[in-house]
Amino acid sequence: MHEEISQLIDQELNPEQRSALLERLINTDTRNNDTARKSWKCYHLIGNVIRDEVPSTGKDLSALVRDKLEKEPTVLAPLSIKKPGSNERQNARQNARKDVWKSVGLFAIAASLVVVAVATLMPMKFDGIAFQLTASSKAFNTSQAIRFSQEFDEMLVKHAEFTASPGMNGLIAYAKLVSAEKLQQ
Amino acid sequence: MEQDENDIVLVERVQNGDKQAFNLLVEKYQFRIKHLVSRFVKDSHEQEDIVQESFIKAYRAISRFRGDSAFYTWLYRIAVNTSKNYLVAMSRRPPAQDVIADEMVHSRGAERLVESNSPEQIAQNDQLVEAIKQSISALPEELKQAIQLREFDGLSYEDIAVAMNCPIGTVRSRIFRAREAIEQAIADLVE
Repeated sequence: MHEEISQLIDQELNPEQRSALLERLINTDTRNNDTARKSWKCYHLIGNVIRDEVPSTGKDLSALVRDKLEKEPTVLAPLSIKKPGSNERQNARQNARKDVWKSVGLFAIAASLVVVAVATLMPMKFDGIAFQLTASSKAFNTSQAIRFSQEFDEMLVKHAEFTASPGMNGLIAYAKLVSAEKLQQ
Repeated sequence: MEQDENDIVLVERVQNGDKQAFNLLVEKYQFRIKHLVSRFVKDSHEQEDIVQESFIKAYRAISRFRGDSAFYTWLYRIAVNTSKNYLVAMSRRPPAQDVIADEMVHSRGAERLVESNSPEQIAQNDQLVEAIKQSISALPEELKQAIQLREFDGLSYEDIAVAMNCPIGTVRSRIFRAREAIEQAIADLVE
């Protein structure tokens, strides 16, 4: 019995033996001078002394705490501790979730690569047509753009007095008018 | 810190309404917790109050313990917080030596003043620790080595068997014999 307690403290018992022995220890009362419970306490104290974890005055407080504990309402919160098995299950679930996000990420990267490839390869494919279009539009643009610019300036000068001026009224319109006159000269 | 399997079983029992299981945890950790509290508070009686309060707080909060850390780590945090709170509260109170002894008789510290503050008690506790140390040093070499490898170095029986070049059964027996010898040596000092 006492050798089993020694093994229990060292966590060298199998789960069934451990539960049975702890059950036995829980149900013994130290006030009845139970030697098994005394050994449980004493073996832990020996470990504390070897590891130098004992205060200079090591009074046994377990009886005082036990008396106080009797006045406390009983705790009832079953199944709240994480078991090593449940941890593994949770990790497996987290890993599965990670795998899903990983594949979604890879798919997104692949899709964006396809879009970039299409965007770059398409103009190359129709390079000849695109060149012809730009050449003709260039010829059109040079003469048209000059004419449009002049007409636009004239229109701005004519309608300058109707433009909205949030700051100083009339000053910007005057500035445009003067600059347009200078351009015409 | 690794989860202690005994603690898991005991905490589960407490969470299922078994108060007695908590007493085993108190018996197991009381000296470690008092040793921890002694780093914050010098007075032995104040340490004892804080240790008791820490265990009661741990019991009240045990439904919130989910096993994310080892039980001792969780208990350690409670004891550290209780010690710090005590120090903060003490800084607002008058120092203990200003309290008149007659008033103390009617306060909650009365029983401490009469009983546990006696030099005899302190001497007895010192004697207990000293007796354990002496009986360890008096052990035969193979028993001393086995229990030190287990308790100080935290080796498993399997590792100790390799280190001491002997079967696991011999390790088990040596560790038990060492504990048994020490227990017998201090029997008169333990209540």
